[in-house]
Amino acid sequence: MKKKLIISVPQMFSMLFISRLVVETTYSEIMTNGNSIWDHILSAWISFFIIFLLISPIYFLFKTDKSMDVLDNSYELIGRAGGLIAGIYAIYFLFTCVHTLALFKVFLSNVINPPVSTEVLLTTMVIAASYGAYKGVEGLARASGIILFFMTVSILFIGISLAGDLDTLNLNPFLYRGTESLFGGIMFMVSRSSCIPAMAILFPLAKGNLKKGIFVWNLGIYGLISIVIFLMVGAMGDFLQTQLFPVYTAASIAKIGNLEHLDALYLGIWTMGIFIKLSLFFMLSGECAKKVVGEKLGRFFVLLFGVIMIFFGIFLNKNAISSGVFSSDFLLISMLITGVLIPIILLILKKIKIKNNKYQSITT
Amino acid sequence: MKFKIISLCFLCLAFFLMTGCTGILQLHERMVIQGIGIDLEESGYKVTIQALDFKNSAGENEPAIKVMELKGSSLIEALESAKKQSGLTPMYSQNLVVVVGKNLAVAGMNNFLDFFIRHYEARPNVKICVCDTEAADILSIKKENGTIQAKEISDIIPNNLNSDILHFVGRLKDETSDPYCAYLSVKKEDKEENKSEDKSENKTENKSDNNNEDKKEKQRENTDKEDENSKKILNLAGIAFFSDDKMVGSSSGKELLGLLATMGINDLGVFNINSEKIGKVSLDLQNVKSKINVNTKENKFYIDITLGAEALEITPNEGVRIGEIEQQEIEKQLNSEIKEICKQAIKNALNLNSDLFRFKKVILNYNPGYFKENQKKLKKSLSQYEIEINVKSSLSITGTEI
Repeated sequence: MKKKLIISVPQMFSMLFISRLVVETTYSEIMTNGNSIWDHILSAWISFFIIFLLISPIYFLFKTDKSMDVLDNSYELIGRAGGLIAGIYAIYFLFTCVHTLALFKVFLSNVINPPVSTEVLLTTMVIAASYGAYKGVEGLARASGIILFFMTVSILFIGISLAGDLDTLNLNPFLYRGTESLFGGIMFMVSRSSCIPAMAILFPLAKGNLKKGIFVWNLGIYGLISIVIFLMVGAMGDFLQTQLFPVYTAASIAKIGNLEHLDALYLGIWTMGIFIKLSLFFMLSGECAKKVVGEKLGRFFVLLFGVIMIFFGIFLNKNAISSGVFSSDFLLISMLITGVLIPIILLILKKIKIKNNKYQSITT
Repeated sequence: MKFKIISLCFLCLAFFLMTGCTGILQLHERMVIQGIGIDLEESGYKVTIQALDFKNSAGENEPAIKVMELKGSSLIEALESAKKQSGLTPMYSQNLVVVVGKNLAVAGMNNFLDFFIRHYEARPNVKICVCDTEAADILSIKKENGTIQAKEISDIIPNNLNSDILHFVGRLKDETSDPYCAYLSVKKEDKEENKSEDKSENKTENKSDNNNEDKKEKQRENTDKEDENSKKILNLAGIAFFSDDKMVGSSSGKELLGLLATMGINDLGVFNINSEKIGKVSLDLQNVKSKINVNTKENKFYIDITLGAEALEITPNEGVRIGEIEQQEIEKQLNSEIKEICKQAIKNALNLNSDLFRFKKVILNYNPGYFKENQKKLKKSLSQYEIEINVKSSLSITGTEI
């Protein structure tokens, strides 16, 4: 069945850009187990090339038939067992949602400490995200365009204001404490690339130049991470060691003219980003459900997943983000299974099938 | 139907959100903290807070300024007792300044700073300073129209001094530098009028009253009166510098100027030079830039200081006309004097094991291998480094004849 192209490539990548950014801007030495954040500029550029490698199986699988996503391919190649693949993807996408919720919870409880309970806020966020996912990818893509605009403006604001406080003495020589931070940084960045498995479902929905989109998206992500690290380290020096969310702290000291306390701006934009990420991954898990239970019932699965997430939101420990299940190792393995291993297996099966078909057509 | 279901869902959601209206604290239920003073006592901490009290307003739409003295074995314990005393919940996000008593600064800052780093309402750009007396004295200085406000204390500390939590903690956490902050002092200034009145009263009283006991009592009363009338003036005396988290010294006057010039802190203020040939010249020193380089082989630091100077006031010797040659002469003398005070300031700080100038950071950036090898002994051996200072000033004299 030929898929209807409903969003453009820039729209798709703006959703994925926001999804990556909300995770990357929670960056800190505490979160990365005491790594020197300055060395992560090098990690970012190594990760930049690694991401291209990791995307390639999905891209080449998509190139074999541009109307089919990874789930269609699995049903076509392994029959009803394809449902199992859909299940694995659905679990991965939901797991990413739980990770995002855990991140949001630790942010709320440690940095904001709002008078309203975090559970209520998380429940509200999940309900809003479920509704966003229920409305489908088109609505999300349009919302992403607007949010990305605000995000860019706010990052520019904060960046310009921090540039004035730069002290070059704060910038240490790279790798002077060894290579541990470099590898720690690569592990951190690559393991949190949940956008790669998401591309396996999203590619057939987008029209436009994919290669260019992937390049610009990847360059944008790692370019921005490098700039953010440079500005944060340059302006705040070793104060960063004490902060759980240094980008938020940077926003709180940013000042342009009479405009002060830009942390409120960051908070709003970041929450919008969390909404987009949750909605996108709910929607993707819903797409997986649709493949198994059918189109009509599948839409309600999005809401069902939302209910499950509400429970996670309520019962998640506020320090869950530092638990083993969200460690870089576990995140990396789960991402590699869904983003690389399954697409490679399917790609090999598809190539064999194409070869067999060619052989059969020649012999007949 | 679909619309009704969604509306119903949102209505249910609204019930959850109602907690936002009931659970939130109103402004009159909060004590908006503007300044925190911390002193060390034998039993723990004495904390003085200055806060805006919206419950008891001073005038129309004007909150009262409340000064409270709190005690506790830890800072947070002391701060929390504010609620018990006033019934108001403290709000720290509007805090402008942290004043630390000298005793506490000498004992070490690490024991209480954690609160200002980790509390969710604490902001890193809050100014921090040490005072030559108790912090409580600073926050309760009486003025004609009430108590000195935390905003005034905060304004005394110039922004370009970077005397805030962000820079202080940043330097403290950095293994290659030591922190510094503003150093405030209180001067007592007697009110001349009151003094003379009191003196005249004394004279008349002495004439009329011959009773000795009465005399003594009167004298005691008068000294109390004098104390009350003496006006306390808060001023920025200089900077307090630390070795790790302990205050090891302070500097003021010309030494302070030398420290600031070496650190490249802009806008040094007025500097007077007395030239035999020209006379007295008052200069406004601005646009100070400092660049520190190192040669680890020769154990030598090179410090290049550039600054701009504007002649504010010239009292030339008789018959002297300020021309190009005289201008160069002033520049030459300024360079030499600044160089000398910088050298002295650096020497003093390094002798106290305080690396305010981030020399170790310069070594780290220049030669990481050397730094790694010598990291442990570097702090003490810094004072053995030779220091070469070059000062380049450019003088502008406005209003001279062409």
